[in-house]
Amino acid sequence: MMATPATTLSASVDSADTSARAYKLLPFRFERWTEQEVLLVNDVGDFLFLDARSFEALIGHRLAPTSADYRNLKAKLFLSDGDPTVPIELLATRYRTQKSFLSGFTALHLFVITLRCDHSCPYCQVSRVKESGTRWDMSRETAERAIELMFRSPAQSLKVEIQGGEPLLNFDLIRFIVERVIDRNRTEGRRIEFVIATNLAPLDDEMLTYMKERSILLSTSLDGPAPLHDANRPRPGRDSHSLVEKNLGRARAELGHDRISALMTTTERSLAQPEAIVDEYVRLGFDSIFLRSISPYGFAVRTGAAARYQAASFLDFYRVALDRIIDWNRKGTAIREVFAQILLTKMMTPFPTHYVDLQSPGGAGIGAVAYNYDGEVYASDEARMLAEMGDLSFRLGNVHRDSYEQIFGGEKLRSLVAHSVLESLPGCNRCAFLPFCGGDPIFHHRTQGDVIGHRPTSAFCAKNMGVLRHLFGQLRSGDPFIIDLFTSWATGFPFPGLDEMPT
Amino acid sequence: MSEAVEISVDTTLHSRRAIFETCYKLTGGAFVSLTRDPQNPDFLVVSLRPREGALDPSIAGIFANELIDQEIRTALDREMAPIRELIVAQAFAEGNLLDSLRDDGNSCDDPLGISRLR
Repeated sequence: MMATPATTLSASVDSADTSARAYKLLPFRFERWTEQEVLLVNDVGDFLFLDARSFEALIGHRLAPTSADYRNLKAKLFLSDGDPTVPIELLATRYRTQKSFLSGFTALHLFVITLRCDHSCPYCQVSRVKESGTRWDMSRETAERAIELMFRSPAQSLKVEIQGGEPLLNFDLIRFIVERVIDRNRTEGRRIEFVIATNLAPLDDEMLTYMKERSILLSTSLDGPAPLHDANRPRPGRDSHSLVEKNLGRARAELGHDRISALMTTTERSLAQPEAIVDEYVRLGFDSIFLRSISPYGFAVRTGAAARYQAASFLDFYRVALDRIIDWNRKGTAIREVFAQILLTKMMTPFPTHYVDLQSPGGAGIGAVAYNYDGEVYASDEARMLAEMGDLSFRLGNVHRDSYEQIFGGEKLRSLVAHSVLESLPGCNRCAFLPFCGGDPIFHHRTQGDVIGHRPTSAFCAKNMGVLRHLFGQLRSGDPFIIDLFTSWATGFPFPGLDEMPT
Repeated sequence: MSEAVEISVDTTLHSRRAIFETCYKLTGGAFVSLTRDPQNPDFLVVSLRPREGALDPSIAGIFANELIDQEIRTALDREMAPIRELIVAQAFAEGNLLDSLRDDGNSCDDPLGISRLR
């Protein structure tokens, strides 16, 4: 019996080699998916799985033009067999669309109006202080100067996110900022969105009336069922969960059901309760949940909370929670996972998201900026948290001392941007997941002492790669329900048959 | 389970880029050092020591397969680089780098008579 020659080609391969080098390869990266399959991703995020033999034939320019693989690769702009001008133009247009988040420059402006807070969460990402006193509050002069800087941004859509501490403890300044922005915008004509990130505990009727009048969105924290939430988010009276539930109902009744979103932080305690956390979000009528790992900043570091679990534990938690979310959808209740939605949007549509952690170049400073209570300007909320820990590496300037040009055109921000271009980062530049990911230089500075970072030991890389692999695996499974569900998350199109949340 | 592994790499077959990319990728689980083989200057000796515990017993095979993939990536990068650079340049260009005449075109022109075919 003759051994099968090692060069035996699959049906996709042109054995006569008549078309050798008759096609050009268009830029893509690859990842071995299994022993038999390779995942190909082009520079604009289109992807396909290819049999390993067809992959070998493709890169050897031996793929038969009559094969289904060839037609598929050509249609998805992985190869070109004629004048390449048209595919290059198409790819350039797609590339420009994918990078369109750059054109508006800084759109998200975070106003940290107080460090005071009534909670003492051990994982808190900021260095909060006790409720009394105004030393840790932003002044009107500082707010006014920050608003001026915000309107220097060329972005047509501006999001004003007011946070703390607990910003409702400084509600007078919230009114001041909102009114000043609205007044100033009469001549600016930008699209403005206001969001308050609050634990809801200090919420009262007067605040709600004002929020309704000014169409303000609320973003709150919900870590899961009461025992877990109250353990993660202690406050005097240990009643954080019941306050969230009560005030969530009041806020929804006044502002509208869809005007309040929530996000959770995964602590070591949370890792054992993925299903219960998802179920609690469903019980409270949320149509989304953002499964977030702890960020290595502020109190999360001081208390050791961030170090207590590794990316692998979070990924185990994430997969179980996502399965639970999919199960709820199968049963007719619409709920989506926001991190998956961000990645799926990048994987399944031509459009970018405005999630600054997953952009290349990274969004710190050019997508989002944080004005601290004391007037200091930071490249991101994480940069501000680092500063609270004594590390001023990413302080861009001060609203009182520095001009817009010095803050947003200075060497610090330029360097930050330059060090977050994935296409030039070691470990990222050849990664198939590059079009979906980000560099996060501030995270790597914090965790590895280097803005470029070391990807083989990066928790950020491990988490993103793990989630992306899981999502690709779900899509590869061919389950039509999951494909339709993920498509609806990515595109925003409704999924027929699922319950709409009450509005 | 191994405490240390040495792998010999023929530099007449493998590019420096592919060797370094492969070594970099394995630095998550191992400390990696490279030395030239004193007996044969065409060969590099890659030494892998575990960061903690022991090395994956398949580490030599993993290295060999990764080296081939990195070699493929090096070849693909070389082949695709001109088009990749052109795509990025075209994406951010104010004019049309592929056909400068079209910069002067009028969007109302219909040189191929496409509108008449409707």
